[in-house]
Amino acid sequence: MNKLLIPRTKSTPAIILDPSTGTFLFSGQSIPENPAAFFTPVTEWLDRELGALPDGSVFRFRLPYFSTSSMKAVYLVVQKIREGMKAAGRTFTIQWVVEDDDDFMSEAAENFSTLLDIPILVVHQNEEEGEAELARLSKQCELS
Amino acid sequence: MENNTTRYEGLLSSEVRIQLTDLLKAVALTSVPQRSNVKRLCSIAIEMLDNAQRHCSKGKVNFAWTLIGNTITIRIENRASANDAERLMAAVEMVNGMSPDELSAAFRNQLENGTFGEHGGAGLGFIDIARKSHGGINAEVFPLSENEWLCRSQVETQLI
Repeated sequence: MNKLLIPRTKSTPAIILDPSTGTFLFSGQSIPENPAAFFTPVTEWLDRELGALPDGSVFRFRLPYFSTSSMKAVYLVVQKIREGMKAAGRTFTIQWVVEDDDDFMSEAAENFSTLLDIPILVVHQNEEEGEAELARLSKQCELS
Repeated sequence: MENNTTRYEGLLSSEVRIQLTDLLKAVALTSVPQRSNVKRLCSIAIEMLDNAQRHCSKGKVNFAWTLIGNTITIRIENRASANDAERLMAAVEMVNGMSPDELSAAFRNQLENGTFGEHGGAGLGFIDIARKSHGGINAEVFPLSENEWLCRSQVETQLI
């Protein structure tokens, strides 16, 4: 299976979709000018690879700041994961990382869960922990 | 809590928008008491800058973030087409007439059913700003020529 590695920039999150290590992470702020174009490689990767991912795969979203247009693009990504999960007859977990006191991020998870009829696990993590996790997983998955 | 003003006048490229966003985060982290306020206010600024960049027809934008006491005002001016000026006024009028529950419902509906517009937006920006500012959006438009208008949006909200 192929992996998709997209390094973080000032306006876009790091994306690590690596079946060999079981790492499926979106981490960093998402405020690109064209979110639909930015996330297109992700939806294309999901179309190709999702059916072969093992049961129990965990997709983790840590997006401390994002524009609403990014939110729409991420919504479409989560929708794609849900559809792939149903088609493959497997169960994947969506983890939504929320920094403390970020009620709007918690509400985003709730909206996604309600609208897509999919459980979303809210995970609390502060900024330092999130950055450390990204650094560790980037190294593990050889994301430059 | 320190009163402060951050202003930018000039072209609004992606790079400038991102740098401004980072600057505002730094300003908010040092002058706004609660982290939840920082996130809320920066999210409002992100949407206003994003919106201005998408719809600015040409020329400079004029952006200001002002914190005085417990009140923060975020204001942006940009030039836009007549259609975009009309859409701005319609969007602001619509969200200003909604209750918090109606805003939440509209946000969910747009998230689920909306599509990306011709400028790449998702139609969620002003709904989100209204939710996060608790309804304090003002917008004005002024004709500059037959096809170009000056659009001014301002959000005034209290720290929580």
